[in-house]
Amino acid sequence: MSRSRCHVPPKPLPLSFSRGSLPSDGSSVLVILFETNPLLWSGLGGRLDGKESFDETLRQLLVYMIGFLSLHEQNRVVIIALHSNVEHCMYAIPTLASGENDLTNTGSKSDLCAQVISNLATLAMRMRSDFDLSTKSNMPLTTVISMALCCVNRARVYKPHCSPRILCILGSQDSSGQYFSGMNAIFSAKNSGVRIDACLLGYTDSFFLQQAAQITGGSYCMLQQGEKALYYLLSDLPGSESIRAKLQSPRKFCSEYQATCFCHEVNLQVGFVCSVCLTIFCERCRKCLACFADYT
Amino acid sequence: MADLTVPCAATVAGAQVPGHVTLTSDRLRWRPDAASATGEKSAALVSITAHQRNKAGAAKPSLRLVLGGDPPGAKAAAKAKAAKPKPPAMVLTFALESDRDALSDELKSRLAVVAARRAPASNLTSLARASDSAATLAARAALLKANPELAALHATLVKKGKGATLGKTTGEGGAADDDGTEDDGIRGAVTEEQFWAEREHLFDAAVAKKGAAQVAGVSNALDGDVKGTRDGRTDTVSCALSNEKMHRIFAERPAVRRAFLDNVPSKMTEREFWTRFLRSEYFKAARAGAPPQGEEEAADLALFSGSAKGAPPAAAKKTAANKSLAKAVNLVADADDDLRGGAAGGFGVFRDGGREPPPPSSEAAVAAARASAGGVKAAAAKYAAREVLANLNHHAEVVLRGRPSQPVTDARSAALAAAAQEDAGGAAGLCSIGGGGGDDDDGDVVVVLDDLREPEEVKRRTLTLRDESAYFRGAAAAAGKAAGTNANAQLAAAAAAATSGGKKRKAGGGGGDDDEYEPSGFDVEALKRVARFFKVEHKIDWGERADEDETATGAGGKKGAKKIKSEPAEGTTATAPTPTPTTTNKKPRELGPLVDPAQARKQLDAIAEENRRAKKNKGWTRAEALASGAFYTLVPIRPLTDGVPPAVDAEIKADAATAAELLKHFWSARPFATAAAWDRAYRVNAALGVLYDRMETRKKTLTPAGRHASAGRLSPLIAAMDAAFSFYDEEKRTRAGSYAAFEREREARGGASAPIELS
Repeated sequence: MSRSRCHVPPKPLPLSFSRGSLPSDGSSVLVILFETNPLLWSGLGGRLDGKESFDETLRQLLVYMIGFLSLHEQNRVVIIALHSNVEHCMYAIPTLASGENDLTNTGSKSDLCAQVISNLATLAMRMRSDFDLSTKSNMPLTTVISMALCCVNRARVYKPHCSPRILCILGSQDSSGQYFSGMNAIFSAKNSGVRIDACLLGYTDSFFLQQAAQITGGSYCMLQQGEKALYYLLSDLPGSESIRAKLQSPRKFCSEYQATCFCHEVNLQVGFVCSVCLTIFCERCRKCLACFADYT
Repeated sequence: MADLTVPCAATVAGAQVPGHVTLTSDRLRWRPDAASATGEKSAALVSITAHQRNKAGAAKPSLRLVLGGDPPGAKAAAKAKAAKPKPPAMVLTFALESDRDALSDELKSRLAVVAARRAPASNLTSLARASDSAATLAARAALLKANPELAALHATLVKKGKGATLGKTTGEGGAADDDGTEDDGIRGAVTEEQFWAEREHLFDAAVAKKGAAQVAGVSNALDGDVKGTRDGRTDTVSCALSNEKMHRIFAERPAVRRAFLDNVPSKMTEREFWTRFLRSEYFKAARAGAPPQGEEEAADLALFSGSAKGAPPAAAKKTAANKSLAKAVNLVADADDDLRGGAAGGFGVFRDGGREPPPPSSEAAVAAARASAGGVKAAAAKYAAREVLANLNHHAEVVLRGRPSQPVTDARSAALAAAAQEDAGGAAGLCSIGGGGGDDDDGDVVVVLDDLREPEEVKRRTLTLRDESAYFRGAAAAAGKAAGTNANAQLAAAAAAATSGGKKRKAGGGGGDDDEYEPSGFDVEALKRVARFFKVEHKIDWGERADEDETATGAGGKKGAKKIKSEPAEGTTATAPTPTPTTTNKKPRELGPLVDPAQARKQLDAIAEENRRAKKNKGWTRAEALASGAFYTLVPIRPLTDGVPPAVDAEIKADAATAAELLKHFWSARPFATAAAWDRAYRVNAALGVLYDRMETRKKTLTPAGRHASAGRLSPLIAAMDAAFSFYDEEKRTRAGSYAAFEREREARGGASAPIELS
């Protein structure tokens, strides 16, 4: 266990991403995590409450995607749909799934849209038969971030000079049970030089995604009533890193990073951090209460 | 209040007699030290209108008390009455300056108490309000009506019907205001006058405009006092001319005006012009209609009568002016009246009776006289009568024109103003009389009064329902929903609708407008709409899915509903939701335009504002901010709404506006050197305290994110309020004397328990 100051917010990544990435050739790989949870889009639970409709958001997303692909011939897009449970998570576009031949950007954009819509329709039909309202919903954010990192890793095999990033378009609330795995995924993304951008659709902030965006140097935004995702995507999330480096993003974060200890939930200025799972304690202990790592 | 006794000397029979003065709560009494001495003086405090002490360091410290004079605010009026004798005064001489100062300070505070007793604050307020003109009050009302935020602030801070009275108690329990609203501890902190004193600039223009619409009148005297006066000893006639009088002369006598503009200063000086004019007028009155004597007098008479020019105004212009004259002014005008009338007969012949005209006769009498043997004489009489009436008409028009709008500072500006008034059309335009001119009948003269005008009918649109039954179905559904149906069943049904191929669900339950759509969920119908937008519908094989969709929904919706499990709510019977196929009149929903320009512009403006704010906060570029590692610790990007519900957001805004207004009044009350200033500061400070507590209480009800956002927004205001509190406490220490006097005054009014009108 190491002793460290916990209140210092982590520095965002510098513009030139660090490990494992080569100088970018201007192309990007964009992995979009798009929530298709029926409970979110049907308005139940007041998450969206009619603020956005699925078809409108999907349309804007497709328009942005087409624009992104048009910016560079080597740009690539992957869309991963998030459903209510882990087993419902699936690719909407498995363009990176089967090898190098899928990494093409020469086809018609209308074909791309048709492919996305077709896959989502398949997903919708499958979900309709399997959807169970009584099951407690846990958004598999950690899983899909890991999946996105796998996609990025696979893309780098074929395109080592691309600059990858992950765009999360979500509306569900955070799940506290995925904190550890989620933070590990975020740090993995940081080490891989993958930005995580977030566009929140609901009325509540996602502190998890705020941390993800801040740690990885991405952008975070929660859409207000009447705002459209397309405006944000086009204005704040330009296609390439070179453009992004020249623009000042006005979106900032409001998350509090004051650390609280795992054992007593007391705010700390100085504490002890588990070197395995990064859990914070207010006093030295022999064994981690979270991951049960033994320090003796 | 304890009595104060100070040794001092007073003047008795012209000599300084040592003694001592005693100040009680309502009287000041001086007695000589010697028991045998006489000359005791006494004055009630209510009769003391002023007290003056000589300069510090004077050889003999003295205090002068003015008894029974005008109140302090009436000094100007007293000066105007020069003949009024000086009020009596009492002069006290002290051995020590400290004694004089102690007595003076104590006397000052007790006089303030006495004055406050005599004139309750409510009366003062009403007097202050009475000093406002009707135009000001109307402008204030219009401003409040046009500005809801200002109206809300006014309603929050200013107590209606009552002034903010010093130390006035409201009794036990919460006090309801005059308008029935509950007093929240802030209302009444600012008086009506204080509230508007800061905002006079907002309605100055409106008041000026309203004032401009009201024409300032002039005297209806037929002619100005241009005859002059003689002192009786010398042969000099004196006549005083003011700017207003010169303007009146120029307005009444266009010939004089023309003579002035043509001759001054090219041919004569202004003084020479007026000398000749007044001399001519004097001689004309003295001659009483007799012909002038001497060439100079005749030349002056010709100059000022306009005949010297020999070029009267064009007939067309005169006729047009005559036609534009309102019928209410023109007594017997006809088309050729002014062509022959005007100044040819000379002004000023009527008042001296030199050529008294006969009474105006009717047209029939004139015609009869003309037809008779003495027709010429009768026609001359008629001509004289017309001359009189023409001059009366002109005079009436001048009176109705009123004062000129432009400033009159000298003779030339007076002449130009009179000419401008005459060119502007004069009375016809100002007296709001319709028609005007001699062509219409008298019945056409219509005075338009706003309060007699019928209100315009409000334009309403006709409501048309395409399907009235849909409206009642929607209303019934809303009523059923309001009655409380099984929440779980609704949940399950909505979920079924969300996953069952796009059957539309009525979101609000109200209204049956066919054009309304509910927000779409994740379903095939929504995907079809997107596909139609991108024109790729034909590239997607919908057949199998559509069949499945119809199977799931059409066959009783059982396939889709089978998987729906609803948990029974407590105390209710679990009923399996059966999604019933609803018949709807809705059209196939299509997506609207992708981009709304107005909304896009709004969002772009918001981004630009955030950019500006970020730059202003730190003056950083993005690269600098990233390099410093503190870029993301700036002000939250959306402090206005992050985590703060809209209702609370509105309350925060209202409280912030109120606090800002109170802070303005607090700082404008500086320095807190008088009881009135302390009273104002005390009241505002108490209201600020109430606001501060309210803000803190509200902050505790917010979520952490909301608290953070709220704190970020209010931090400058909180800092300003803290500064005001600190300043108030500091002033209490530094100006302990005046604060103590204020406290005594407040206690005397019984305001210790309720310093301001609080609930």
